[in-house]
Amino acid sequence: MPTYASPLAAVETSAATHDQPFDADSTLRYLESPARRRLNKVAAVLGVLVYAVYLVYRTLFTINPEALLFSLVVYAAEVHGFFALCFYFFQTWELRGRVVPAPANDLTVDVFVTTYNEDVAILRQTLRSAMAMTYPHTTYVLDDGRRDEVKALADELGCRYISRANNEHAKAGNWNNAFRQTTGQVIATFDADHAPRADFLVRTLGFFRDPKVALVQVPQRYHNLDSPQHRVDWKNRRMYGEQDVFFNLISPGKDNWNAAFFCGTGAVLRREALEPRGGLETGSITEDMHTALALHADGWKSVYLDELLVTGLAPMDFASLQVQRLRWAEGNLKIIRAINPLTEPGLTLPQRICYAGSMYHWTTGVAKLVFYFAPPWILFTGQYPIANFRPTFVFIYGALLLSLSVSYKVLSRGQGRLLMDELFNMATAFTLARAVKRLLVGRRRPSIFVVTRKGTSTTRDLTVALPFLGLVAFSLLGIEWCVLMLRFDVADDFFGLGLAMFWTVWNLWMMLAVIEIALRPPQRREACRFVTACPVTMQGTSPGGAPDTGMTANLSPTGCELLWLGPLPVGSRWSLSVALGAQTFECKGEITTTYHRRRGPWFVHGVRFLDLTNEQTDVLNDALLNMVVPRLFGDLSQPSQTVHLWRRIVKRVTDRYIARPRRSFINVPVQVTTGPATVLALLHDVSTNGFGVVMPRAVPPGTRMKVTVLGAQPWSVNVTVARSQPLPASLPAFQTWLVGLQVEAHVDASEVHRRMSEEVAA
Amino acid sequence: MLPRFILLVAILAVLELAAFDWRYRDLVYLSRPASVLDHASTGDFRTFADLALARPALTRAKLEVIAQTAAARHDDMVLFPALRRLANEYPADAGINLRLAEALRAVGHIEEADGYYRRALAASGGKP
Repeated sequence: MPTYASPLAAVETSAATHDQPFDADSTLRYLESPARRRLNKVAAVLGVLVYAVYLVYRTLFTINPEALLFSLVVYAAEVHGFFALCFYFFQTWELRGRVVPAPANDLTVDVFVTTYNEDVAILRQTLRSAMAMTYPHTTYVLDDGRRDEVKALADELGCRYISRANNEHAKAGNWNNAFRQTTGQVIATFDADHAPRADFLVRTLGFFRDPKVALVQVPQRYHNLDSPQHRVDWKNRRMYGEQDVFFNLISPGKDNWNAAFFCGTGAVLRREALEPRGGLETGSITEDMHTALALHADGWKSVYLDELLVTGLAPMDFASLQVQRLRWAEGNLKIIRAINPLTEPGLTLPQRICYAGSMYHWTTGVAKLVFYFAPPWILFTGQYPIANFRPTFVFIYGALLLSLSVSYKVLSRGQGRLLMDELFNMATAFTLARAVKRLLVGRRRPSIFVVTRKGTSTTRDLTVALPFLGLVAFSLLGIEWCVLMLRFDVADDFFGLGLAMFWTVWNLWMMLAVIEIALRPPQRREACRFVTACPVTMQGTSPGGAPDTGMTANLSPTGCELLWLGPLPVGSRWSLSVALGAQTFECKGEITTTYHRRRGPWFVHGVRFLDLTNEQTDVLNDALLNMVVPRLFGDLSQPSQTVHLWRRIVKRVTDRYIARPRRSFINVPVQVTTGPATVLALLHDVSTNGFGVVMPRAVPPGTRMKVTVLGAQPWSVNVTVARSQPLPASLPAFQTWLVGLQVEAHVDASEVHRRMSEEVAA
Repeated sequence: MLPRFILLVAILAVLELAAFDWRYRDLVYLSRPASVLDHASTGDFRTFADLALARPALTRAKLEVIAQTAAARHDDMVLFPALRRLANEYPADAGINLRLAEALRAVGHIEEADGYYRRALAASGGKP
């Protein structure tokens, strides 16, 4: 299953016409074969059973009376893990996607973009994207910061500006203030940094033909892939996003139980459902889940549409991430004071379980901290939480770990990454534990809504790393104490202490990874940088004065990293033309840095765009959000390591019988000539019998073309188009096609492959 | 920040060494090589051996060190408590019972030695 593309994107037909009665449940489709679904269920049941048997064994034989308190604390943490597993398996029991129905023609739609103190440049793009959505609608900017520049922006762009005298109830209060002043039947809502795609409304409004649907939520994707919550393996084209499990697995799983909830942005809500409560719930600082819970209790339906329809900015530093998670955890836990999902009338049993599971998730930090502190505690004291800490226990525990890993992998449908999930569990453990403390013993001040900082961060808040540094110190000292105890015969249980030491070292390794994230230098760039290869031409760089061609390695609204055949002087200024799909973006740029790659003829240059007008910035932003981002998420949708490994094994076996050309991904600018027309394109991949180029237009199969590779020594090859497929793009202006080309019969294909491989720029 | 943290951990590690030495100074002393212990002053050895034997938990290796050193030094004041504790904690070990019996016989405690000979025999399955 691809990670970031909707599995049902291509199946968007609906039998119902607009005026017919319509049940949104009829749009649910199973995403897996019956055999795979059975396997999921067997794995889930077995995983839970093995854990249950383990807990029974622990209860009967391993509670240590010599260290009773310690033993019970660790036991409680394990019981916590059991319930967390049950909630996870319940929520991912069945994954169902949605077939997208066409929207009715007569809906009145309001679009709310909430803002408080976000950068106006970020807000500008969000508003422009919101206004560019294709279904008729009215866009409102809800400014709780009461800023003149936001009002001026709204006037410039032609959207409506709403503000209020105070900031009561923060975002929810801001939203409700606009809710009272508007009349749209449905309201699409976005945070200031979440830019929707043009087809957002068209893809989501159809579900409101079911009069019981109150909410349609789409996943939140973050395009700043250098944020602390992302890990990108560019070589293998794989990406880990800390919230992927929630948006790729848990949310579709909740949708199966009609329990998908509002996530605050990238959602559409029905006014009629919210009117009785005057808009969003204001009883907690996480108005989104609170509101969804209330709506479900009132009998309304929700829909989760797993498509890339909106992207935003994730917190750019570790401190902001912790602030965000603390707010989420504290808010979601405190909802229980207003509505208890286990007792609230009107909810179905699966909905109760799903909401309880969502709240329970935020208590994970406490259990995790027990597991992080327990091993060094053993090393210090020589006391074990397990009585009879012998090979029999280790064997049983090993069986539990194996069963958990396998069942988690199966239920995660190839997307779960245990190590990374554990890493981020550790990264947020202290924060989540703090939220639990606030729930149980309260806090001195009332809970407040703290806006997550996005974009540039100039300072580094090192205090967030302190708890982890403390834990590292505690673990290191525990190891030292244990070594001393073994060295001087204070203790002689090499087996037990050895295991505790292994466990400590394992946690230490993860702690160091978390500290590495926490201590990253602050993000000083003015704008988010996107890895993308686009052909660039510049005038006057060669003696003849002819335009020369290079390509970008990455691009942002303020500059790019330029790959060029030869050095360009730092400080020099050039006129650049960047090919953005079928559009050409022209501007002046100044070389700020330059260096030569170790291999190949390409020089890497930092370029700052000069004197950009708002219109130029808008074009760049449009290209980034509508061409680069969809392509990035498409490219990085690679399977988990396990699935990847399995496919490699299968491929190895099948390759013995089926000779397949090997393909490698290479970016070099090329010139494609078809008859009299010449276009600039980009080499995308090369194999031993052909290659692929990214072109700004489709070319019918069978077309003969000449491709000139614009490397150190330009050279040409005649080819025939084998296929042409559109690459993901959300605006037609930025549509590109991946054109598969076959070298002509008389040309030595392996020689072409070799020469192209030598030209590699990126 | 990191250099300061590393410095702090280093200081704590040194302090921990000192704390360990203070907490287990008897066991640290008894971890010296046999040749050193054999020639240590009787007062020191007895003090640290007594401290060690007063601990509720002591590893077998450490008890063996105390017993062997005491035997080498012909220090019965330490030898018998060490061997008795070994025999109590490892009653199924024929060797320990036999050593204790031999030591008791050597100082004329024939009746008590006889009891340990019998325990050694029982532990070895009746085979002398």
